[in-house]
Amino acid sequence: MKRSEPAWGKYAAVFLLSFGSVRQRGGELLGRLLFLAILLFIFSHLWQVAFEGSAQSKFTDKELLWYLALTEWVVLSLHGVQVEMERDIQSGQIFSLLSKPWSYPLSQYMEALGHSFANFLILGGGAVGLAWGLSGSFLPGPWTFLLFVPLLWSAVMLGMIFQTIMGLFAFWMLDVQPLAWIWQKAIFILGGLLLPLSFYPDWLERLAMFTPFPAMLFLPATALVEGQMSLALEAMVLQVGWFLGALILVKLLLPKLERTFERIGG
Amino acid sequence: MRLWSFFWTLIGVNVRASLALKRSFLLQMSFMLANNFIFFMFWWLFFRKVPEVRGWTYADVTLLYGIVAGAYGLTVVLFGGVRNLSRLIEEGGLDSYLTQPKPVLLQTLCSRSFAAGWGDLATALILIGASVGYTSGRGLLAIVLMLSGALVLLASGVLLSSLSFWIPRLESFSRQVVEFLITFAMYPMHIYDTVVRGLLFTVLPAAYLGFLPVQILREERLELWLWQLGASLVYLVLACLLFRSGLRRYQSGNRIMTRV
Repeated sequence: MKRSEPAWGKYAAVFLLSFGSVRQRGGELLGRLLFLAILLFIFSHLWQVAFEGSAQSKFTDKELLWYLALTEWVVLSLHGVQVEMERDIQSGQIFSLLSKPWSYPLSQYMEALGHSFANFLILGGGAVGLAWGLSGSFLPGPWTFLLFVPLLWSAVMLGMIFQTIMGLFAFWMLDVQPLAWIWQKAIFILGGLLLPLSFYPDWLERLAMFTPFPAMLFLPATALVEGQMSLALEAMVLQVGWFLGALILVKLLLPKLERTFERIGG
Repeated sequence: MRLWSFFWTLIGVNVRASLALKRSFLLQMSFMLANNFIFFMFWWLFFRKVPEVRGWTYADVTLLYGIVAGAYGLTVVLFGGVRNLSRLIEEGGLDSYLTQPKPVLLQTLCSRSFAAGWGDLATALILIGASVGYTSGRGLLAIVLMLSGALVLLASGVLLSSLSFWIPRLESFSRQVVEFLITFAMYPMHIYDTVVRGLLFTVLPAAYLGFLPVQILREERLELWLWQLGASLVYLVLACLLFRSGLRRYQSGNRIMTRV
C-alpha cells in the first residue's frame, strides 16, 4: 500500500522551493539592502546631531540606531504575498489553484514565508553589519542577540499571516491595494517603525498597544536593544495571541469570501 | 513663443486627462496627501523630544518637507513622462515622438501626468502655509524656490534616464537613484559632514530640492538665491545636452504607433 505523504510535506516543499528562488530575486534584495543602508546612514547622523543637543529620551543615539535597524529588518523582510494573491484572483488562475489538493491560503503563506526567510537572512546580515559599523558597538550583546533574535523572525511570521488575510480580501474586493496601503501606514505609526512608541504621546502609545503592530516591531526591537527579558516575554505572548487570533479569522473568513467570489463570478 | 504654447497645450491635455476620472483622481490625490502627513508625523514626534537640529526647528523642517513634496508633485504632474523615459529609450519607444516636428524631450516629458502628484502639491501648500504663511510674501518665495527644486529633480531624472542610451537595463537603477535623491532631500543637511554635503550639492543634487531653498528663506542672502537658480539652470542644460547627445545614438524599436 502506498504510504501517503504527510500533510505538512507539501507545504514544507513550497517553503523550500520559494526559499531556494532567492538568487532570481538578487536585484530586488540588493535594492532593499541599499535602501536600508541609506536610511541607517541618514539616521545615524540625525541621532548623533540630535543627542549633541538636549534630546529628552530614555534611549541613547546608538540604541535608536539599533532599534531602527531591527524594525526595518523585520519590515523589509516581509514578502508582498497579498499582491500575488490579488494577481491570482484577478487573472482567474485561482480556479486551478483552488482545485489542487491543498489549502490555498496555507500554500500562499508558506511560499511567502520561504521568500521572507531568505530576505530575513540576507537583510539581517546587512542590518546588523550596518548598525554595528555605524554605531561602533554590537549593542544588544551577542548572547542577548542570539536569544532574542527569533522574536524578530516570529514578527515576520505574524506579519505574513496578516498580509495573507489581506490577500484573501481580493476574493471580495479584487483590488487590495487600499488595504495594503492602510497596513503599511499602520505599521509605520502604530508599530513604531522609525521611533520607539515611548516617543509618542501617551494616548497614541496606549492606542497602539491595542493593535498587533507593537508585537511585531516595538516590543521585540526594544527587548533586543535593552536586553530586557520581561519585554521579550511580553512580545512573545502577544505574538502568539495575535497569531492565534489571525488563524481564527482565516477560518471564519475563507468560506464567506469564497462564496462571495463564486457569486460575483471573479 | 509657439513652443511655449505647445508646452501649455500638452500640459493642459494631460491634466484634463487625469482629471477626467474624477473618483480615481480624488482617491489618488487624497491617498497621497494622507501618506505625506503620516510620514510627516515622524517630525512632529521627533521635535517633541528634540528641540532643534543644529539650529533647525520644527518650522524649518515643515518648510523643507513642504518644498520637497511640492517639487516632486510639480515634476510628476507636469513632466510625468520622466518616470518612463529610461524604458522608452531602452525599448525604442521614442520613435513616435521623433516623427513629430517638436522637441522630442519636451514631448516625452509632457506625455504623462500623475494624479497622485496633486496630493503632493496640496501637501506643499498646507505645509508652506503652516511654516511661513502666505501674507508676508515668503510663502510666494517658497513656491518660486519649489519650482526651482522641481527643475533640479526633473533634470536629475533626465540625466539618469539618458544614461540608458549608453548602458542597457538601467530603468530600475535610475528610478532607485531618484528615490534616494528624494529620501536625502527630506532631512536637514546639517547632520552630515563636509564630504557627504559636498556630494549632495553635486553628484546627487538633493540639496537644491529643499535644503538650500529653506536656507535661502532663513538667511535671505542674494548669493544663495543665485546659487540655487544657477544650479537649476546648470542641471537643466546638462540634462538637455546629455539627452541630445544620446539621441544621436538612439536605435529605433521599429514601432508603428499613433499618438493621439
